[in-house]
Amino acid sequence: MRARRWSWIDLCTPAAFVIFVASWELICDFWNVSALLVPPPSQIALALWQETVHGALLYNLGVTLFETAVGFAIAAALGIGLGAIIAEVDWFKRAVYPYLIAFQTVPKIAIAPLLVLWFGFGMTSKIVIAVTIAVFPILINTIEGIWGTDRDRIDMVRAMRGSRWQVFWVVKFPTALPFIFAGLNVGIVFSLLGAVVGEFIGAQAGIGNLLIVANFRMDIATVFAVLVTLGVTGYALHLLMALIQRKVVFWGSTARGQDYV
Amino acid sequence: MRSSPAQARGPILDVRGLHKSYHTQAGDTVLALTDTSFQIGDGEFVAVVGPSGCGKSTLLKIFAGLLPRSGGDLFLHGEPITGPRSDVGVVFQDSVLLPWLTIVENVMLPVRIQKLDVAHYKERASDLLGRISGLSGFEERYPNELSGGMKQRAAICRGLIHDPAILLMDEPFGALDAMTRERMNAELQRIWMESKKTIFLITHSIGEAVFLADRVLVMSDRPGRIVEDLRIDLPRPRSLDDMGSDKFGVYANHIRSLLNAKGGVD
Ligand SMILES: Nc1ncnc2c1ncn2[C@@H]1O[C@H](COP(=O)(O)OP(=O)(O)OP(=O)(O)O)[C@@H](O)[C@H]1O
Ligand SMILES: [Mg+2]
Repeated sequence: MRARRWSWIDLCTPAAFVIFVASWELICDFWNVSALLVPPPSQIALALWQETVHGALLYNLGVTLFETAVGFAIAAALGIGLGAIIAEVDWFKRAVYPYLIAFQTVPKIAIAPLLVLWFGFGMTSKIVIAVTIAVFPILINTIEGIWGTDRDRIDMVRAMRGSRWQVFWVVKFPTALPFIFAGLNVGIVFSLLGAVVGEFIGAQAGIGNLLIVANFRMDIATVFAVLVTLGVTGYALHLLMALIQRKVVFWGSTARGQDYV
Repeated sequence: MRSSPAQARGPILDVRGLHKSYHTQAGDTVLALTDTSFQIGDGEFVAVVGPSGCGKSTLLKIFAGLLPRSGGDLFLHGEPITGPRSDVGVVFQDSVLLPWLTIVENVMLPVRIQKLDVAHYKERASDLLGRISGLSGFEERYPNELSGGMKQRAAICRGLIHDPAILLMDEPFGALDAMTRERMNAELQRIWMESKKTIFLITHSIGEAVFLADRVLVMSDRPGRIVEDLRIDLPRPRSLDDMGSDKFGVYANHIRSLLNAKGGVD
């Protein structure tokens, strides 16, 4: 892609940030808001610095990122693999799909405590929760993408004496790729959420654990610092996926995927 | 100049009493084609015109082995058609190029699917793209970077790459503007004369049918049948100027009156 010419519209995002942070600081200052409830940005920044340099923010972030990455990888493999089989094999679809749709309506957060009970306070339970939450958007988008393949494309390959296997790999799977990426995009953020939720419920490490502990200590500036870290991390993961998507699905056609929490 | 070699070399495609009915999802049966019989000679250019929904695409899909027939017989080179065959090439209305493959990769797709000798056909691909369709220099481009007419020419190359005996085309120029369409018609005539293929062309345009074909098959409203098998006796190569000639007009008017009598066409 060629560099676009600079324009005033590029200023909107940083300007909004500056205005937001400045007014927050001023409001805290002006009305003397208790830092125990809402700390001003300057204190949050300080806490962020302290936690990064002297505290264990980076270590805990690393733990959470590891859980997220492993959970996401499993969810991606499971979602794409299972989705492809459901989309292609009729008896498997009939056997599995209705139950998946039914299970999809269960709020996965609600079963998270159960998963921690089953899989312990270590990283395993966080990974399992991440997989449970992230797999659905990937699975559903994969199925929709494969089913959405244009009839003419399938006929074209069939008319060349293409086997079912070839029809799948030559047209159906690439056609589904923009949808699959829409699912992966949601899935990676859900993975992070799943890992953090797991850490809320019970953990020895991780950014969710850090948050709970700081909250307990009434160290609200650190709570906000962790929240900022979480937001930035989620956004960075999303950008990373978008970057990979642009490289892989270079022919454009960005599909509007569906979330399926 | 080519004269019709149909009788001399015997039919390449032999259709006898073909029927096709669809079972709709609502549960009833739609008769799309009934009692369709005709033959196509080797090297002939045959066009089919008929009202929308009369079963033209159905006919082509049966020839391509994409749809089973409900009755009747169908022979290609004397063998019954039971499924897709490697000696048939198909060109669809919308070029159906895959946007993630380059033009040359798209053209080579039948070679890849049929696991033929890539090195040998690569040469043929650049020959087809260059000499026959004027697309040399666009081999490594992606379909999105080409105009509609160029895409359709690439799709024709893809249909011809594995050297099929017969090329089936379903309204290949339907999506193009009138001017591009006329140019494509002239090019298709040239491609046909150079490649000596048999071509079966479905079209909505009476002018296109008369300009290109040795024979025009006129179909009735659904359920489709051949109501006339009209030989077009115009010398080759035909030029676009010939489309204004008296003889051309007589053929076109005759076809139009047949279609109007049978319920009209756009
Ligand atoms: N899969 C299908 N199921 C049921 N009916 C079908 C199916 N495909 C086609 N038909 C019906 O069969 C008839 C013939 O369809 P076909 O596509 O062959 O028409 P056509 O002559 O190619 O029309 P057009 O000129 O508009 O492309 C139509 O009435 C259509 O509704
Ligand atoms: Mg049609």
